[in-house]
Amino acid sequence: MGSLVSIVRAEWLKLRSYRSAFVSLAVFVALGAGFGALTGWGTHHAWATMAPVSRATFDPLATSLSGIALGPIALGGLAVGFITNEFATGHLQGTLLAVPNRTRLVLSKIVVLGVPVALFAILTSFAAVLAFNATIDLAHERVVFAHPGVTRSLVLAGLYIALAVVFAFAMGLLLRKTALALSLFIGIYLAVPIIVQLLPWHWVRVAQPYMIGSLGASMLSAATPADGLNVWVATGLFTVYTVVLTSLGVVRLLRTSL
Amino acid sequence: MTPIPVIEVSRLTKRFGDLVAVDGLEFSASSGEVTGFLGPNGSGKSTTLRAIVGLNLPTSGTATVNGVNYRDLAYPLRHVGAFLDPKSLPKRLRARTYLRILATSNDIARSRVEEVLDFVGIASVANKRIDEFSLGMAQRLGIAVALLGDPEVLIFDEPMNGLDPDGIRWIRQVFSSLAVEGRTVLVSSHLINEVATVAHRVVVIGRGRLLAQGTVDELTVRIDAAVAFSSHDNEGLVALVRGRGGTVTRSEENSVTVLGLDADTIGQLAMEARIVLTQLVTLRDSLEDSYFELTEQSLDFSVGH
Ligand SMILES: Nc1ncnc2c1ncn2[C@@H]1O[C@H](COP(=O)(O)OP(=O)(O)OP(=O)(O)O)[C@@H](O)[C@H]1O
Ligand SMILES: [Mg+2]
Repeated sequence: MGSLVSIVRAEWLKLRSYRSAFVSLAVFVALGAGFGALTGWGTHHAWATMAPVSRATFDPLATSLSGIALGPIALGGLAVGFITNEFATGHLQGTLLAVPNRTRLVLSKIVVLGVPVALFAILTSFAAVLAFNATIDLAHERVVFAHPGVTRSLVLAGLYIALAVVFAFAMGLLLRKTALALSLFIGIYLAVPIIVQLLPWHWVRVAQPYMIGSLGASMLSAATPADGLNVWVATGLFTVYTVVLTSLGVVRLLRTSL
Repeated sequence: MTPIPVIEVSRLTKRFGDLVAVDGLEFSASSGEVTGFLGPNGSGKSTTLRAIVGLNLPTSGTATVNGVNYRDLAYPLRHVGAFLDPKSLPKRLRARTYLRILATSNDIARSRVEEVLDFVGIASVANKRIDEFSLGMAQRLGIAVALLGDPEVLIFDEPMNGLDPDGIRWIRQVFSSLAVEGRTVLVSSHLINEVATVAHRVVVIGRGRLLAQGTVDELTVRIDAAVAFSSHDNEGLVALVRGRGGTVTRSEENSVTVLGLDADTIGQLAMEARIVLTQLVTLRDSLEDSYFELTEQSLDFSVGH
């Protein structure tokens, strides 16, 4: 156990040594809080002309967190690169000489990525809601922190971003090539849902709520979205996806001669 | 201090698909000694060293340090220090930062980082990014990495690559003093001269197989020295040489090369037959030649016939 703590501390030191890590985090915070302000401001101006149905179903919380929902794209590169860069440069050999237990190494990297990112995401979500409330200027459509499900959603936003980041990391662990892993990750997030919408077969759309891109909507709203999964089902499913992908990556790593 | 086998490679085989990179290799390296690990390019040296430190999983056989698999060590850097590949240094990090990361991962005191930086003489440039380092500085950093945990066992793969003569002399002194302190030092090279002066023992491999193992002296004696001569009656002398069990490996107009007899014997034969010798030289009396002869048959790409 003692050594696991040491490995986590070492990986944390390593992550902090890369300037790109700070850049990615800054982009994430700007995106999260910026979209909060932007959507608040946009809603404020559109409210008068909005259709009654849209007004009725308007979800201030989900709207204010729309930048957070894009967070995985801002942080994907950081997460993928945290492992693929070591493959690409040969640095992984040096790392494995110090930490030959590869399972522990992967666990440590996941902790170092996931925990701070989760905390950061919770704070950023909070900031996004505050920014939204400040710009929307419509008292009745502000997010009220005391409302049921709001605090939960802010915490789940942290979990959602952490899971997404670990998922991206696992993609890098399994595929090893930065460009391949990153484009596949972003593709799964952005392109797959669009492609599914464009396909002529209706039954494909049944799968839509189970796709990673849709899970965020379920996890980030206070109520279950119309065509989405229940928040806990979504959280569980995302966890399962991430654990499975990580396990595949670990198995591949354990079998590899470097 | 009597040398005790510390690194033990036993019936080690490593295949990459159809290619057998290491083939039933068996040798050991002992405490208090520098062991030279020699073989031509592609003979399986790096593959073997990687198996010892758990980067490679053997197809069969074992490679252990003090009887333990490297992968089972919780704090490996405190027991085994290895520098196998300059590519393993993270280019974008500062040298000092990298050493601190490694020290943290193995619960090694921060003060050791400064000690090893001083020892290898790169303390003044340790805040530079590693990609700004010259080859020699990177090699020194690699040695600092290996020494970080003050380990009893040290493993280096071609550590003299890219070093200038000063650097090579320095690194030899480092190896010697590490061995004097009772540590086990295993150093690979494809050039025997690089290690001949420091190695107490050498292990020679070719095509993944053990060719010879012993002290430098033993290795030289084991191999027949070739003798070349020219005389006023080469044909006559060749007949006599053959009669005594010598093998003529090459016969040119002026010079005949013989294996299996030494210069002394050939000189005697010539004198008894009253043949005037115009030239008599022992060709292969250096370790280099022994090594060449050993590895020649095992070369994958010997120059054509
Ligand atoms: N990961 C790998 N995949 C496939 N083949 C490999 C791998 N690593 C090494 N080999 C092959 O195994 C053989 C032995 O290589 P190795 O690097 O161990 O030789 P070496 O003695 O260190 O050579 P050199 O003096 O050139 O460093 C070579 O034919 C090499 O191509
Ligand atoms: Mg090699």
